[in-house]
Amino acid sequence: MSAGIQERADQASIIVGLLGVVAILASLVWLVQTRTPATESIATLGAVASVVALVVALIQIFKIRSVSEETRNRVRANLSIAEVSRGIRFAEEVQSYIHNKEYQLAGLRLNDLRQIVVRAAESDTSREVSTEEEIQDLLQELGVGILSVRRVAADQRRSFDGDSFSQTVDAASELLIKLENKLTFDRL
Amino acid sequence: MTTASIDWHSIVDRLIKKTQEETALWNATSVSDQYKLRLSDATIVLDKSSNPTQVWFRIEILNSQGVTIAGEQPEIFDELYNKLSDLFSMIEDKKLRMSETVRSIMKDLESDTVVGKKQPYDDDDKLPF
Repeated sequence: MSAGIQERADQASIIVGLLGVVAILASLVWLVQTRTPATESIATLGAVASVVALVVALIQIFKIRSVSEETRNRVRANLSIAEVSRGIRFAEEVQSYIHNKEYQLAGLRLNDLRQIVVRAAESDTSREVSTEEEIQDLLQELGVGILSVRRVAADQRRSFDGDSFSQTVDAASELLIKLENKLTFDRL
Repeated sequence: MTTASIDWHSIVDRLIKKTQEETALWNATSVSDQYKLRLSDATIVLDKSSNPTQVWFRIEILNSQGVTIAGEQPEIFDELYNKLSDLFSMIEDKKLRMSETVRSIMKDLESDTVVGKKQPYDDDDKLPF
């Protein structure tokens, strides 16, 4: 669709350009026939040329905007898949850190995972694999999880329910796997 | 993180009121001595940490993205400290049914009836020697 807009913008530029040349030539002929003074003729021709140039410039700006938007969308889509995959890996790392009682590292990775879930939540695709409410719940649980892990990191005498915590990380992982599958399928 | 604009006293007072009325449903988190309260667009986390000589209470607010946007850990002589301590005790009481259990213990101990149950294997007559 965007390519079509760009093609039409190019065609419009050419047509406006040609019309501009015709308009300038016509103005020139008219100015000669009416024996208009040279300074006035130059001003008139300049004004016509300026209007034509302005229209062509506006068409080109419109075209560039559509190109940059398309490029941005493509980059965003590619980033999403890459980020989602990274998020799945982060979830695995969190589980591993928790298993090894490396709570400080688990907290850092959990925050990375939360940020990816935030990004995922902003994408329209996430609505196709989960509900907004589920994602909101998950984000809250991840936030609480970060606080919990930090507390245990600060004081390892406190007991930590790894199973309950794993459920949250698993839920995040499950969401991202679904999202990754959806994004990959959409690209095919 | 700026917490200057947050009226912690007002928030904690309301939390105490709602917890007392049992209209605030707190849940335990993955770590001991930590409770969370899920609100429509935020979560409040109340945490108690200690060392052999001191106990601290910390309250934190998470936004809809799970980011901690504000937190407060009052000093021991602060009025807020006492309020958080009361709130924490109240939550634990509700979660662990402490008051009910203590009342039940007192009732049993004040009665004239025999308390405790004899286990079947305590019966000496059944011993083979």
